[in-house]
Formats: sequence, structure tokens, C-alpha cells
Amino acid sequence: MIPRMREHYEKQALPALKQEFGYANAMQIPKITKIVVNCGLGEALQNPKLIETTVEELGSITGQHPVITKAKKSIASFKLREGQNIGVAVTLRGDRMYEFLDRLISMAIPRIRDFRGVSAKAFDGRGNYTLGIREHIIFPEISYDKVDKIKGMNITVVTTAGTDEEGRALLRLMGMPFRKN
Amino acid sequence: MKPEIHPKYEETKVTCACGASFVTRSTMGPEVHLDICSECHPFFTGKQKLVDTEGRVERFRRKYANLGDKKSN
Repeated sequence: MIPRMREHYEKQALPALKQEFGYANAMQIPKITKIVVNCGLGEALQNPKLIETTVEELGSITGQHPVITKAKKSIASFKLREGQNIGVAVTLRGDRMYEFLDRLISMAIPRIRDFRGVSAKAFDGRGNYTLGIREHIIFPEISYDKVDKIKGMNITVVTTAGTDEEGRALLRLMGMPFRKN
Repeated sequence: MKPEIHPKYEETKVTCACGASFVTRSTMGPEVHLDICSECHPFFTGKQKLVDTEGRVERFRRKYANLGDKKSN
């Protein structure tokens, strides 16, 4: 089955982008390369079990087993040693990526409390977008009763767009609900 | 992807309370029901600015309209 998000990209977003920016070569048209979901867990130092539950939860949200990220170097003031587990992350590509984006936009984002649109300024200068999620319980995969601690996460959409403007146009055409001004 | 470490990921039919439905893949099993989706959220539909609120206020008034009477009885 072709994810409906991919179909939407190929049938609607792609021609619209081509027309808007007038690309000479089809390969210049921006596309989504990957989506990275990262959940930084500094608290895991006090509570090592937190990593396990987060691996479980991120896995069910994304449908892919996450990796545990480790401290790159020791920082004494945080009581952090090199190599300790301090986060959980997943990189999604291809069809799983499109399906995740679909679930994010159609199911999770409308469930955000007091939702008034996502920031249209959270681009990195090179056309990639990062969205912060405050409560992971917005994902329908997570049942509210089983959660003991609400976790936040960052969702980064990496694109081949060269500029923020092109990245924004791409995500807007994919249905990202940007806040107006 | 490495085999046998990933959660079960299969086709899911998502149905919203507003009547919208679509098929995707997820870890949630064959069917899911939502209370709100991108088809019916006020922000996505272009701000119908909480049509329900009026009804709620009315319902509240109706519920407590005779509260004063009860007290006097």
C-alpha cells in the first residue's frame, strides 16, 4: 500500500512546488529526506528505568525500535559520565516516514491542548524543520492510564530544500498547520 | 532495518467521531477511533470558533435555572 501522504506529495505537492519556484530540473524540487524523533532524557541519570519505558513508547508511536543515545563526554556539574544513557531517538525514512507524518498531522496534532498552529519560524536556515512536542500523550498510540511521566520530544523533518522558504512551502503543501503570522 | 526488534506495524483504519476516515499503518491494530482529527479540528477547518460553547452555556443555565427555587423550598 502506498502511504496516502506519499501519494499526496507526488500528485499535489510536487507539481505545486515546481510551479511556485520554477525549477529547471526535477531533482531540484524539495522532498523530505527523513524524520528524526528525539527524546532527550537527562532525568534518566536518576531513574534508569525511564529509558526502558521511553524506548517502548517511542517504538509504539513510530512503529520502529529506537536507539538509546549516549553521553558524548563527561560533564561533572551534571554528574554525567561519558557513555551513560541520556536519550532515545528514532530515524524514519521512506514509507514509514510518510506514514508517521500522516499520523502526526491528522491524529496527534489536533489533540494538542489549546492548539493554535505550529510555529512557521522553526527552520534551521537550510530548509529543515523542528517541532517540539510537550506531551507525548497526544499520540493515540499512548494510552493515558499507563503513562507515569509525561515526556516531551523533538521531531525534526530533514528536507532537500535549500532555503527555509522552500522548506516551508514543502511542509505547508504536505498539510503542516502553520500559525498565521 | 534490523529484524525482530521492531514493534508490530500493520495497516490501521482510522475513524474519527466527525465521520472522516483513512487508512495508514501503525502499531495500534486494525481499527482506531478518534475524538478529533485534522478534518474537524477548528484550527484546520478555518476557525469555526468553538460553536459548542454557546450550547454549553445554555446547558449550564438550564441545569441550574431552578437552583434558586430548590433553596427556597
